[in-house]
Amino acid sequence: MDSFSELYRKKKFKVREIEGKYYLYGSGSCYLLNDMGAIVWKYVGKDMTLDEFVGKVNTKYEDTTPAQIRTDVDSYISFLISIGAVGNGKESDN
Amino acid sequence: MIIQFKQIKRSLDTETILPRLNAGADDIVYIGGSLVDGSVNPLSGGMGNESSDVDVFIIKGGSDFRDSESEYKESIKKTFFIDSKDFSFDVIIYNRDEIDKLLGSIENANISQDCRVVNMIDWPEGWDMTSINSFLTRYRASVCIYGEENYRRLISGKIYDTFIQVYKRYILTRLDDLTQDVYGNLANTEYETALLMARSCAIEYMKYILYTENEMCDRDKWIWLKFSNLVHMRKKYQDVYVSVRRILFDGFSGGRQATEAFLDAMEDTIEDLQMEIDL
Repeated sequence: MDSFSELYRKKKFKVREIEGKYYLYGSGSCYLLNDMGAIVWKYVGKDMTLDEFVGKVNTKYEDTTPAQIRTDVDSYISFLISIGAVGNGKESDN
Repeated sequence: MIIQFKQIKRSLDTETILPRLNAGADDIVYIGGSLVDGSVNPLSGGMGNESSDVDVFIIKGGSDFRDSESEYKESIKKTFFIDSKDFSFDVIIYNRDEIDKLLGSIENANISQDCRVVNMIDWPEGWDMTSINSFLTRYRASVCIYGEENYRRLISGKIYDTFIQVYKRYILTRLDDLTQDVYGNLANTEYETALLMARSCAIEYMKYILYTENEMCDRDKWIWLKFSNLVHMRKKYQDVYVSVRRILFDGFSGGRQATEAFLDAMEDTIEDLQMEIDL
């Protein structure tokens, strides 16, 4: 994936904030997201390249490396796809 | 007993749920809610869908009520939840003593014209117009699955007749207040606010007609469906139907597409407002 615009959020999944924590729920399941997970979800479908995203995260969280951030993003995206919360391509194509 | 829910093409075998309810010898157990209403009441055709829970009601004597376990407790009722393979059940336990007090109060209601609507029924503690309406609406459109004889004897036709008289007066009072608000906003040239208030009037107006036709409803979400069904059976309300349809839906031609687009936009906005975290 080069850009978050290559992905889209599935309609049946939502994130809700409860007492400062972010929960992703849909299809009868609920997942607690950490900060990185919440930010990744927020940008799914948005017009932002992965390089831009990694750069911004790296500025905000200085104790991480770009390589680590890329790995985290990839694993989060894979997870979101595996649970059916995120799809590849444009929503209208599916 | 097998209850068919034609609207979702599924059936409920009540024997699967009864053993999980701990019903005592004198208890009444009945099931209700939109799926049941939509199955037993011709005016409720179309009510209930895949997302609907099944409501199970148990009426228990005072000491058994106090000893019963639940997840939520109020003075007049307790609630717990059961999930099974095919259905989710909301189980509501009512205190028989409180039900008897309520029914006595309705039986002795003062429905004279000079009595203010809030004073017509001497409310037992824990009840208000909404909760009484809900209890009676669901009892009326229910199926008994245990304690059949007690179930049949509990609520007489007179109770329903009296409550419907009181509730019609209650709706009229609300309609009078709303109408004043509409006129006030029209005079102030607040036309959008006036339109919103007029739409609230339309809901109450349909409710009034349903109750005039001896039909009950405890959820605004089902008013339009019940009212539409009524109009199919009673052509005299055709003009009312046209005027209500105009104030509620005129200019709305998108149907499913517009509704889904609205929900998507709403969900996205709520999510964005909630997710303060950002880069």
